[in-house]
Amino acid sequence: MKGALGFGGITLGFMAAALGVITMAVGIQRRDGRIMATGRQFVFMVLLGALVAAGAMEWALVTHDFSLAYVVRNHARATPLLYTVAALWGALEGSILLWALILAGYLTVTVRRLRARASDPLVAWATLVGLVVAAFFFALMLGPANPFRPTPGLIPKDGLGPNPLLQNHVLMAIHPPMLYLGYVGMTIPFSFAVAALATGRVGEGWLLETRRATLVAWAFLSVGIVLGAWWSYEVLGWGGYWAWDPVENASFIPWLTATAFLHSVVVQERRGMLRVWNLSLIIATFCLTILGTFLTRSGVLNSVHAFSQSTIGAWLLTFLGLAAATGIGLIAWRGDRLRTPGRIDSPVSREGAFLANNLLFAGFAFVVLLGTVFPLLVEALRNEKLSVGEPYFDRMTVPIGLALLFLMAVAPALPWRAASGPVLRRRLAGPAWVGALTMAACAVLGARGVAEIVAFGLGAFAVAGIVRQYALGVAATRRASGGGWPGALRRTVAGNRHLYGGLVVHFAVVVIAVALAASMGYTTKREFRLVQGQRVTLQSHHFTYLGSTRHQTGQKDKFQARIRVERGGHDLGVYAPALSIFPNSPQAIGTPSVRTGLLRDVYLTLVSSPDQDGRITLGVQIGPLVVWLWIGGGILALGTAIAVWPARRIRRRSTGRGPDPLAPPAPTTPSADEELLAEAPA
Amino acid sequence: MIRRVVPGAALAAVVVAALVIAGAGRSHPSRSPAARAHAIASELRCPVCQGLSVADSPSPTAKAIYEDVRRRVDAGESAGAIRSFYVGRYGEWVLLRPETSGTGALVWILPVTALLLGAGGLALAFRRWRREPALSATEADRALVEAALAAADPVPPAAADPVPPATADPVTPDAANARPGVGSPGPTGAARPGVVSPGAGSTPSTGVSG
Repeated sequence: MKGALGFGGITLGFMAAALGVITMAVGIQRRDGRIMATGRQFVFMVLLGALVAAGAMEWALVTHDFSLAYVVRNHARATPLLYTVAALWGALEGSILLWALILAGYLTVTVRRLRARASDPLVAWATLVGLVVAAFFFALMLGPANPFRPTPGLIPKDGLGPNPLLQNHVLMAIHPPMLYLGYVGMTIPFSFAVAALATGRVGEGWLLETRRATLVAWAFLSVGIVLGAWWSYEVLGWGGYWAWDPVENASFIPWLTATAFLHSVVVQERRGMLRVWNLSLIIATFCLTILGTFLTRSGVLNSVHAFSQSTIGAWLLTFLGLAAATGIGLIAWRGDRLRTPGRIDSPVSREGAFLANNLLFAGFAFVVLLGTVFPLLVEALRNEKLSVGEPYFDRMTVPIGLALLFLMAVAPALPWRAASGPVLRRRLAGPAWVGALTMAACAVLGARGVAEIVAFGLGAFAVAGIVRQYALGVAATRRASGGGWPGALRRTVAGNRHLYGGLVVHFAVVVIAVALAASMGYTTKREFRLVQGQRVTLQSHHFTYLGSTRHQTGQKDKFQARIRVERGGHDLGVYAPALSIFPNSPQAIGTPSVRTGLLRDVYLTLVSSPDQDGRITLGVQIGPLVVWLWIGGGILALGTAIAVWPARRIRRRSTGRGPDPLAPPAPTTPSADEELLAEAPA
Repeated sequence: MIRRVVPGAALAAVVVAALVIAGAGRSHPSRSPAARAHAIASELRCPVCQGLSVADSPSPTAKAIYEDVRRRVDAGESAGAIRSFYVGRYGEWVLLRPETSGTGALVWILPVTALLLGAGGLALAFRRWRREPALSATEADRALVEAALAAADPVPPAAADPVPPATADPVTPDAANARPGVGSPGPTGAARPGVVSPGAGSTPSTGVSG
């Protein structure tokens, strides 16, 4: 019954998407705005179908409907409600359903926002492309990834339950939807890029339509990646948050290309250059999300030979090939129209910095992509097995990351077109000194490691530059219109949300980079064998094993050790790392217990439960600044929110028609005002 | 001249001094056996985990290997010998950092080559741009801009973006926007990039969509 309802929803979604594609195609072919306007109605039916299907799946999960194979595999009666609901994205079929639902949501929002232009061919083409992608994902669910397949044979009384690692932490309910909101959101800019190429309107109009969508998707993807790292840290128990695992890389590669796009798009917006490059980045980002889905969902990672067991891998690869071929073909076809005149006058300019930024981000993406797929390619082509792991990625990406940090410190202060020596000195000398003195202070205070020190110094350099830009902006606002600091700050930010929101995002990146450098460079790790009452010390923290308890529930059999943590005579509390045995898994799953602090985390793991002598093995890890990774993720979301917050219409128009802020008066002695105006493009 | 050079040199000196202190204090991996064992273990793949190193993994298998590595280091075996032993036992697969010879070398060479090619391409582009004379706006360009501004200005924004035909139309915002690159870089030209680009180009479309 629920199965039939859900499958009905999927069928409705597929039919609506397919009919929408046909209608749009007819409308575009006949240049009939009314047919195009009709075509967009199908988007709402696709959303309805996806909602019905997802609702039916949740209903089946909550009511323990084990007549569905998916429910049997991913749910048990003892599973708590939160993980029952989250089981929708716990396995292949459900995550494809979530993908389709989110895509339908994005498409609905897009056609609603552009309802006044429903008969514009550009919008029609974009809707058509979005519906093609939706049709593909619904077709997957009609075929190889049907979430509503009935249970073969007898209907069991209970299910197997979700993977133990997926029913261990609240973040499991938030991280995958966030990641999917980011992943799927990249379909919207892709649709508009294809639409721009198909209609030949390859100028800057489509960019403005999609920039906000790209930013929103990018922010979700960023937050999803940070939450994934956090989940990994809180759940997996090896003390790290990022292992360069292919599944992690799959989400990170499109993030890198999307980040490159968000920067290079500014050059196109202002100078009309880099059209081919920007289109390529958007198309690549979309293709990489499909590639990521293929990597994580086809089973190819376990073995290149495993993925032939399910046809979904072949479907996804074919679709990936089609999307890439469409993109490349369209760009080649429109080549003449994409060529733009214009040149970049000097490498030491904002444009020059954006180009360097894009080179580095593209290189970064290539390193991660190559490292991820290289073992698969070698196994498929030469039948050799080799690994590409953390040492490789660290060696390759740390220099690129530091170079990007340097650009982030310098680039926002560079003027467009060309920079003169005096301007550079005036804008950069102060922040550079802050960075250099930070490095000196760190070295004198005992920080070791070249990469770490450089990261701290460049971070301070960048932050000083950000503070400087905010201070100049607020001071100029106060001179122009008076008022107190808070009001002036608000008006300054509202006057140029892209700039000041972007600077907040940069600040978040510094926070994350510093936390990465500190936690990668200065983490201490030890294991202790302890009997009850024994006390050990690591880095002036004392740990006492108080005793242990055992909880047995239907969901799991959990063994917990109680450890008192003290530092400098202060009791920091009792922490309880645990080992759990789940009925559906032979291996014990460790649950770390983390004392989070602003300066350092104390990370306790129970490595083994008591042996015959009553000894446990306790893993202790003290890692500095780890919490700032998650805080940095929050600041990043805040910065993006500032940047995408809709500006008030009146304000925007007044800045557009007022005295032109982009016209440099070229005085002989540049004043602070002039510098600020040159720095703050609208 | 001296006033310009001295601050830069002082800045560089502070940075270099900090780097020397920070770099010198780092204990070299060859010093302590524990550090050497950790360095080797962090490049060996835990055979029963998903891509974790022997040093990171909490699994018993990884711990056994870690202890074996430590024993071999104490017995005086070189890092290379220990690695070859494990390659003999598990195959190339056990090395998380691929060898710089054989098939694995590609994974090191390709990105570096790509980055160098990209940087070289950019350098060439800048050289070409530098040699080309800066274009300045012609009378035709200015007329085009005048026409675009005149077409965009008096009409309310909603009506200023008519459904453009699929064929190219020189007066659509897209086309008008492509011009700023041509404009002269100096502030003297009538078609200053700043005047045309964001103002005239973006107002109609944001007015509709926003």
